[in-house]
Amino acid sequence: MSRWRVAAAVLMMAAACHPAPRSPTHQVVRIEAMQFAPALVDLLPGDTVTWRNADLVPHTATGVAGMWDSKEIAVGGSFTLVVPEDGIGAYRCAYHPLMEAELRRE
Amino acid sequence: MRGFTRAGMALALLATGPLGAQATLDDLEMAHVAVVASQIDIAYAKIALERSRTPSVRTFAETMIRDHEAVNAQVAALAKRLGVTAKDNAMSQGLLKGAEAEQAKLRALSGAAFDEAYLKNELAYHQTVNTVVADQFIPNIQNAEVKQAFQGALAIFRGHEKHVAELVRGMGQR
Repeated sequence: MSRWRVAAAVLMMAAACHPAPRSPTHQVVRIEAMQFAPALVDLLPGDTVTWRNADLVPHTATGVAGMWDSKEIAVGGSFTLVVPEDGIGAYRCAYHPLMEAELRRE
Repeated sequence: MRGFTRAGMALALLATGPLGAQATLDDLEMAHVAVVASQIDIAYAKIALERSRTPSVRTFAETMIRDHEAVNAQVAALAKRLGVTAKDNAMSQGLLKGAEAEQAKLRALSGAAFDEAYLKNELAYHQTVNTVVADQFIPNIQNAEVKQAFQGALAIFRGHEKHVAELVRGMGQR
């Protein structure tokens, strides 16, 4: 095998192991009837999530690890987060702690 | 076994008792009962903020005030849009009368005894009100928008019931 072919093979293997980073995504989570929908969002740090409060009462989206917090999202309001490196994981509503959901690393 | 608060008992009796309320309350009377039930829960929560220092109890009480005020504001907005006014009725009066006794009982307590009484009352109250709303009110509401508002509010109040049930369970483990 020529040196060029070896080099090309090595490059292809490297590309397979480290796929090119994709463009950031934007996903929407609807808050309604005391639930986050969808309750599970697959994403990467740098992606954007918007929570829209379509419920009858105020809510929050608050990272359980304490790295991010929407504060109060009023009825009809929204909150947008560019997910920080340490922002992946479970979150809940600080007002209604049984409302739990997750940002999961894809 | 489900407990019954004085206000909740009054509601349950009026909903199923000799007044035959489930058959006779119209949409505007049911709306009035819902508003009064929220006002009563706000009053309980205000007592809790005066008397409890337990963070989880205070957080729950703050949520009750925030949520019930929000729901009542939307009931008022809907009534305004429909050009109607909620109608006072025997069930609302019975609820208020029962709540007065419960509030007096709560005001006489403090510390852990208060927390226990408040949380157990909240659990029983939400259980009773949610059952009446789901089984007696929603099936009998005529106006589609009013029915939708009640269904939305019921989802909120069922969330409260689960929340306070967790707090009562936690209290038993302390």
